[in-house]
Amino acid sequence: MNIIQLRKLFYEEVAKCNKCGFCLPSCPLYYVQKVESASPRGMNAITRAVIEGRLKWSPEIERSIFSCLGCGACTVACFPSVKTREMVFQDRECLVHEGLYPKVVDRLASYIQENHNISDEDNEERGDWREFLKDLPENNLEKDHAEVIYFVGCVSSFFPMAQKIPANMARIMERCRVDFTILGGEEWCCGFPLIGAGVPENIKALMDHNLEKVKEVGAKKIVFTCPSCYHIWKTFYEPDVEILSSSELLQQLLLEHPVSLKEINATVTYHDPCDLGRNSGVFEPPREVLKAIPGIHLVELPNNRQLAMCCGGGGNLEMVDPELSGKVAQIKIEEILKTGADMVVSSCQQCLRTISTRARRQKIDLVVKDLTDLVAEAIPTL
Amino acid sequence: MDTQELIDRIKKIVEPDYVLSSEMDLTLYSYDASLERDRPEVVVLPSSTEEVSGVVALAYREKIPVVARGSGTNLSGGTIPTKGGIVVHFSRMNRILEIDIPNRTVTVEPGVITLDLQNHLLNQGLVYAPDPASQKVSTLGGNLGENSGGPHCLKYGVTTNHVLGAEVVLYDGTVVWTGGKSQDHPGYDLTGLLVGSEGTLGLVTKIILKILRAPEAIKTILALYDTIEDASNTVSAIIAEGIVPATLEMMDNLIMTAVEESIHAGYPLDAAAVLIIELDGMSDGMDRQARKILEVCKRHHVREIQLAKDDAERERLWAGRKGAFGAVARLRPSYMVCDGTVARTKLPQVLSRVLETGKKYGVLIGNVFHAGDGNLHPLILFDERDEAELERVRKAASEILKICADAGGTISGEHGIGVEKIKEMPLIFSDSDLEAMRQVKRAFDPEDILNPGKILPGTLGVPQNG
Amino acid sequence: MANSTTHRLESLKGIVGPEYIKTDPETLSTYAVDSVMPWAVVFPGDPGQLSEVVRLACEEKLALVPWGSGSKMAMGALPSCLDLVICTRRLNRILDMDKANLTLTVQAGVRFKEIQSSLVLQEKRNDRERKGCFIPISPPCRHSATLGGIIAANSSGPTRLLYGLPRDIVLGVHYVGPNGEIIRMGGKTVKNVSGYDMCKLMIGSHGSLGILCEMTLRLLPLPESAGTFLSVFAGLSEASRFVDRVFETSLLPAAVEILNSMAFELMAPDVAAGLRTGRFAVAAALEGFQEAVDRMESEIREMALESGAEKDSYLQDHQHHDFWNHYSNLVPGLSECYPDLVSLKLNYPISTYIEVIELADSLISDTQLDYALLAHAGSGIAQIHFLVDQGDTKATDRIALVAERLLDRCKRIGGNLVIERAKPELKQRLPVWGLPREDMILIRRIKKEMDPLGLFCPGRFIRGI
Repeated sequence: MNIIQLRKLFYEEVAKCNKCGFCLPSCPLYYVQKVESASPRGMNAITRAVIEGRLKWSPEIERSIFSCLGCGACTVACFPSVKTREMVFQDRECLVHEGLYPKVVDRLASYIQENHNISDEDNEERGDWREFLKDLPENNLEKDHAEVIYFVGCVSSFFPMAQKIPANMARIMERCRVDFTILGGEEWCCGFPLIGAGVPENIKALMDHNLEKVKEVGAKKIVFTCPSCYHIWKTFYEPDVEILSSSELLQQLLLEHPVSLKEINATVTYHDPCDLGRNSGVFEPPREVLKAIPGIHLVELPNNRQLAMCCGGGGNLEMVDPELSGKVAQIKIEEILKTGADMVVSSCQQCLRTISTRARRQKIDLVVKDLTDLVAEAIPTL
Repeated sequence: MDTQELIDRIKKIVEPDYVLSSEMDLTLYSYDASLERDRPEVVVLPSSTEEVSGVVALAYREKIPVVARGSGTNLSGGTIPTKGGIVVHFSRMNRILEIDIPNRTVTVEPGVITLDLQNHLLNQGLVYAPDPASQKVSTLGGNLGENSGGPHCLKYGVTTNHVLGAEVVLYDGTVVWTGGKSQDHPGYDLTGLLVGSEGTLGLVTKIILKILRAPEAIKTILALYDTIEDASNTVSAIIAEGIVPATLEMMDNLIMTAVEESIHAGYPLDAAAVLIIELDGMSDGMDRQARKILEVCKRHHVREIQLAKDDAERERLWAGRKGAFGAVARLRPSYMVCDGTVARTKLPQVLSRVLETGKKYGVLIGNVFHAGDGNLHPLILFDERDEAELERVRKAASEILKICADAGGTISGEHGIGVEKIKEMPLIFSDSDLEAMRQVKRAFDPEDILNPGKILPGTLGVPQNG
Repeated sequence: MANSTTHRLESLKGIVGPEYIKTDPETLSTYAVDSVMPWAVVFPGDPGQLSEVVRLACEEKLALVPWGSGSKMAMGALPSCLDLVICTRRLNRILDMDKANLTLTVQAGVRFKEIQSSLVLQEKRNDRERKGCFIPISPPCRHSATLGGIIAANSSGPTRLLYGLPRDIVLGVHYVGPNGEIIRMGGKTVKNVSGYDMCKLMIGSHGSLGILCEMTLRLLPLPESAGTFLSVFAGLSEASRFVDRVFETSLLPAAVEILNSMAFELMAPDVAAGLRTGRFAVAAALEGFQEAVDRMESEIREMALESGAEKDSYLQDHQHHDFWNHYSNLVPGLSECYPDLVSLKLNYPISTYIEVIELADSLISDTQLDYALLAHAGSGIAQIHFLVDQGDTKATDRIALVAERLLDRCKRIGGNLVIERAKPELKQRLPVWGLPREDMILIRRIKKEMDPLGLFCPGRFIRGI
């Protein structure tokens, strides 16, 4: 990507920004940083100035553009709905082209290139979370053919804090007799991290591989516990099978297989993951699932659904600037605490990690759960 | 002093992370929500009055302009550093310092977002009345600088009616309080003078605002009309009935059509104007007032009336008004909001001349405005990148101001003069009038350090900055 | 010297006409400012004449004092110098009474009472009745006060609680500045941010920056219904319990006044008959739509009884108006009986009113002086009038002591104390405008910039500027 291409793609878009500033209060990054360069309006202005030749790509711009969480809240607040998030991802491509990018991008790209996942580990280790499921026969999880593919995603596969999520998801599907399989070592990174990092060139190979696997398995549905995988499959892959988030599948399962759920007496608030809610439009299924659990009292965050505020884990910021990501998580935590809820539930392993890590580091007593965790708790025999 | 030295010296006053001087940062502080652009030499984000004072004192010694800035939502270029210098961005000074219910005041730092304060107060059954359209993002310091208005100002007055006192950093860094929690201090009403002075008289670092109890009842009425005249006449007639509603807002057909296309508020596409009328206060007698208003509307050939039955319906009636700018923003890449005020009985006549002006310059103009207090906001739609069109827009905007001035009104109701309207100041002020204002400016800022080049045309008669 | 005086007189005659300049001793003594007599009194007939008079005065370096009806002339320190009194009473034209837009433009010499009486009248136009309207301030001396004087003195009264202050209703002013130029500021619209809000500067500037010649005010529709609820309490704590309860509700009374027994007796002798001293009365003006006024009356009555009211009464129609007329005319009435009347105005944070009134009450009862105390509850303002018998020379000492102690307390809690009326002896002993605050540096700078020769009311305003 270069400036000429950027101009072609985004000049009309960025010209719509009237600099009214209505995006400022919606942007968690601006809330934390308080400088114009951290605001959506600032990022629009940077892009426009670069396109018009008034600014040159610089290390300051790199810092600003690579800090964006990609949460998309600004576009919702924006009168003409300027697509700042999409534009920032293109900016990143330009910056990478200019050699201006955080070192972590190279590492990420090479891991994905070599291991087909975002960690430094062999992709065969993808199924390590099965440790949590010793009671289930292994072949129940990896089959040649199945109706449903459970696409686990890199984070839940390799980051211990999130590994409970696939374990619980698998248990729930087992319990509801879903004919599903995981792809194990044949599941490759969905490619979303590459788009966020400004290096989408290699995404094609990943997509081709994953799509090929879907064909081999002959699945009719793919289910995701990771909203970012879900989002990119929905918008980029567009396979001719049904794409479901875990919350949507859980909602279907609870409707089709009325299991009598255990009562869980708790006041719960729900955090909308950006890629599931605002960026994919899935707001109600997770709430319906929560409401289906007896004893759960749902209180909404002041900023919910379209207006939900990012946890700080979006847009690769956690890799680029963990401290800044933590500061955003802090305001998320404060918003959660104000509701007086006993726990916060999300439907995203990244939100879970970001929020609980910050809470732990700041010694804040906060229970953070994934929707799958809570449902698994509520199913009697699990 | 060269720029680098200036930056180094400022970094001794304010945490270096909050002293910005990269090309990128200077570009990002060269704009606000107006069409004006100019770059500062350095941007500072202070965290305390002491830091602001230190920066201003340094600027005074070195004769460098200082421009205060909140969220940069200014619509007349008031926050543009047209003479370079230091931009002071108040985003870090954003604490609500005290809510004093017995004295009905709240003390805030200038960077507090207007709506944040309002939401915070509403939890305790209190309100800060001024509600500028940008309240979601605007800062209270900015509201003070501009003397911002808003729909509810019809009944409750503008910002100046709600500011009781301010801590202000003067041109040489001296810090003084004007006004305070006690009213009627002997001496000049310096607080009143500071409000609306667009940062040219001092930098406000703390503000004492008046708070009121939230009204116990609200009633919202939406009225649709086939002609703008009928809608405008309704506005005057309601007030002639002895009723001063909290708001009397109007939109014309262009705006309504745009709103309808974007948010489907339920407006008929062929209506000429819509009025949103809101009553608030004690619940007793409100139904009767509403009935009176309906009678007035009928007398002026209203086509359709909707009365909100609950909060949800009230939200729905307001949705169109609140979404108006957004809806219009979809029609063309840029829009310019004009801001003139006339006596409300002159509205029909002035509006038709505004529309003629649009035709004359071949620009699209929609009208969304605070009809109750005669404050027009013609929205001119265009593409900023088309220089020829931009020029026509500027001419049309200037002519609209002249129309307001000719009708006995004024050239700015709530957006300020800034840089954009300096050239129109002589439309309403004589040389002597302007000289009197220059005297005030010289008294507050003898060397023209604070936001120079704003509000007043001509020279100040003080040593000019290099 | 004599020549130049004659020449000056001729020039002034040339401007206003010989009959409108007075130099006879009788007139001069009527227009003496704190016993200082001017050299001449001029009565310009229009703003143009006013402008020329001021221009001439500036050329000749004559010290000026503007004068409306004279009702506020007791305010201010002794003039350091006085040549010319400029009386605005001939500037009495109503320029624009725009009931449709609820604005009024008048010249400075128009009397409040006269214009108010014509505003409140209903009109018939095109077969439709247009409701009356009013200037929403309730200044003292409403019978005589001119609008110019009211604005220049920032006069307000009980209804400031609901309707605000002159700063909330002045939309525009024309004034003659120190070189004789007529300066036009503000306009006819409520929303106006074109240039500095110079109207604010003129309000309460007591003629120290210029002479008001014209002003535009915001009007309000006349309330549909009005009444006054009076109640009497055994002491301040009972009265304040009642007042605080009223302010905790969402009721919107137009005024809530706390009066000591002397003040109450002066204003409502019928209700106050047989009242023992030490009592406090509360007068609440209720204005608005009929239903709202009815509810306020019943709820406020209930609160008064629950707070221990010993007596209560509800005034309507002419009784209501008479009461507030008395209120407004208390000072002129008293000053007729007591030429040595001393009036103090205290300001303080709203919530501290009990402490201030208690202190005043205890300090003054030691002095054995009769005094009327009236406090605008909810605004943080109290007025104390000492009914000093003529020739009581000891009273001055005692009052000075009380005033000092009260000033000290008000100052400590963020307020101040102004001596609004006193004989020159007392004025010389005390800071008439209270203690200056840190913004005094700006006040001095503004005065110097706008009146460089110091010809407008020299010595009279705060710190002798």
